[in-house]
Amino acid sequence: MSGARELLVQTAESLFESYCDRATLDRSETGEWPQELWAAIEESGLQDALASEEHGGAGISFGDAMSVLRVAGRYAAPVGLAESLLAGWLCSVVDRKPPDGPIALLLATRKDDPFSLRQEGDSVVAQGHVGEVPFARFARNLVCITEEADAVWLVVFAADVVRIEESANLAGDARDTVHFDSAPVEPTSMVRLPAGVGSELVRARWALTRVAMMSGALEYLLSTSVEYARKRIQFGRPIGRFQAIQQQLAVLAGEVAAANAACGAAGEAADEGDAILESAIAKARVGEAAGLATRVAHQVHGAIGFTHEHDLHTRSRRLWAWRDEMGSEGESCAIVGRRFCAAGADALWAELTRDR
Amino acid sequence: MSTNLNFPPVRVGPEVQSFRLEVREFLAQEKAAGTWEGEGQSWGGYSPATSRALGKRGWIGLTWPTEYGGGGRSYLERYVYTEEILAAGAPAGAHWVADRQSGPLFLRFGTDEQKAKYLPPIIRGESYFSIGMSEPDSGSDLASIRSRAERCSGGWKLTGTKIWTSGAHRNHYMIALCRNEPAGAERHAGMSQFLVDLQSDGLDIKPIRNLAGKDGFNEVVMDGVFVPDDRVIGQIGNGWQQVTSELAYERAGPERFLTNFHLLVALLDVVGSEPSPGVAREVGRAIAHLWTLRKMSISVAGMLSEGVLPNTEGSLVKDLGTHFQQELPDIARRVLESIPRSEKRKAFRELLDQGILSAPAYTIQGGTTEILRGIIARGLGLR
Repeated sequence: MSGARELLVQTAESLFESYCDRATLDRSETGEWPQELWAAIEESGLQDALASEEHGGAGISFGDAMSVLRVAGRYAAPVGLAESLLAGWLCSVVDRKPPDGPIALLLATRKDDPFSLRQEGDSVVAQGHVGEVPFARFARNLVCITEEADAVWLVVFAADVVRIEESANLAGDARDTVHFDSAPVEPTSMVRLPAGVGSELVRARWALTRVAMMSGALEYLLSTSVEYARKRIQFGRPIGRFQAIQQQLAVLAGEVAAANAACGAAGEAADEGDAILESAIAKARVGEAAGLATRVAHQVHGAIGFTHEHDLHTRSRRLWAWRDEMGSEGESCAIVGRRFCAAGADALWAELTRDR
Repeated sequence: MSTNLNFPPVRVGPEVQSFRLEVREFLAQEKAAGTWEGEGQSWGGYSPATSRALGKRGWIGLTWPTEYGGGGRSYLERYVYTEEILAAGAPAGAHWVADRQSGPLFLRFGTDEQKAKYLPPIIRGESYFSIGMSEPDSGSDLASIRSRAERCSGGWKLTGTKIWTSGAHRNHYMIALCRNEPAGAERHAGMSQFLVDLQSDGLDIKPIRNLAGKDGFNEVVMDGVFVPDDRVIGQIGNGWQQVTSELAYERAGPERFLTNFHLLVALLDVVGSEPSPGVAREVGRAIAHLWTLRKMSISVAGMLSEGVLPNTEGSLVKDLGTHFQQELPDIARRVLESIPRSEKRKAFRELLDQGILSAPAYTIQGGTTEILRGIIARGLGLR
């Protein structure tokens, strides 16, 4: 790890340790915005660290951002840090400063999200809705990526021109539907994204944020499960002394290790290219790890891990949510399979060994 | 004792990548020239001609010091070389064990005379080794071995039975782990490693047929086999420590997930360029696993380059890798159901059948799943 990255990770570590405790997670699930946590994040500047320095950010690499999100995932941070980071990157791409305050990110290019921009008299308005938008209700501004007239656009909306329909994922994190009822689009707030930054790339980067967050939550699962197995006494000894439990925890360790490697390698690929393929690969592999690892962690914890009181579900429920965001295993595997089948059997080995 | 499992990405660099292409090119030429026939042999295939050809290129003993004729190159170069052999299916089994673990064992524990005598023929691709660890009553519980070494004039006499000894019927040497003292309170003490010439008097080598109908491994009965003092490897009584370091080399390499790579290539070929969504998912999942395993194994090669012997990490790679290899034939079976009958499909089915028959060994040889997971659990601080 580079020195700069190590420093970022340390900053994130001490920040989340101080401001993202269990009480914060519980309050957030009742619908309360974790104001202190977000204020600390803004104070540190992590939320727009992916924006270039000339646009008020820190100009960190995408791999660096993933290292920060790994820590956020380990602490189950109930804020849209990933979305703010991505919005900072996209705003820099179009030579803008990211808007102030919490930002919601919308990818309004999915078939099942009816969203369009249209001319109404002299002005442009947005119509339709976009679903499952992380933490939309708490955003001061919304950065929306949409396709119109064969181009991809970045449009910034102030929160007061949209209507929010609240909903949450299975971890209790806000995933709202944002409605646009002839929402006005300021001419200056609509910018065309350059060729090469399309919805596929945005989605791939977004998927990588989930890879990083899952990798972090998986690290938590392993350490908490091992700790529990060392402390919990049954049949007169810690259950971690039983081979049946040891073998299970070794399986968990394997999945966590695979996620760690996939996350690190995909982050590196994202620093050097579009990494659309690598993001699908990592999303597929880490998503699968999330399923197996949560099964083992819960099994090792027994009944106490199934209670609301225990902390385990703060990570396991997020793993179950994040694995389906920006491409489930099935969807991600299909992307990978189609790419390699199209390239053909003779190209498989050469494609796999494009190491840097 | 840590739950902090890090597999940092490793940059192989342009030089290593160009070495990869050099190996790939050479293997393609050799195959075209008919040095070997057939698919997917790699470390299961025996071809002295191929071994000598690889030795001539200087690719055996790639990481060993140049003073003994080694390549003096990095573990990353050895990693890409090994991968290319596996991907090409080149029959490199004759010298595989010598290259992977016997040579490194001499380098770590051997005398200068032993290094000078035994390493050069290995490097030339002419000297082949077998592993003499398992016994009929000692599999996973290696410390329970009963083969004994008794002191005699000028050396030792070995008596006992080794089993699952791959290649013993045609290799030159076996490195036998024997008890020089009866098992005492400290069960890992009193064992030593001996270099046994497989032509010695008192040896009886009997082939064991495997379930695929092949004669690959053997039972080796030693009845007072004489081993002179200069063929003791390392210290008398230090066998256990030596053998565990040998096993660490054995575990982490790409042969733990690329042994049946040819099956994946053939699968892609038979499904064609426009697979159904279901088939694309199956193929994509296999590739996502393989891609991740490669990243993990390269990361372990990077650790070896830095002088770390990554015991837990190596065991993790072998555990995940061998299970991937074992699952691959099942993935192929599921995919095959949706492919219309053709000559190509028929040929693939034959390959697949061989793959199914080979699969049970993956999670047993070189340390069973259960032993590996025990090592991982120890790494986690659970034992």
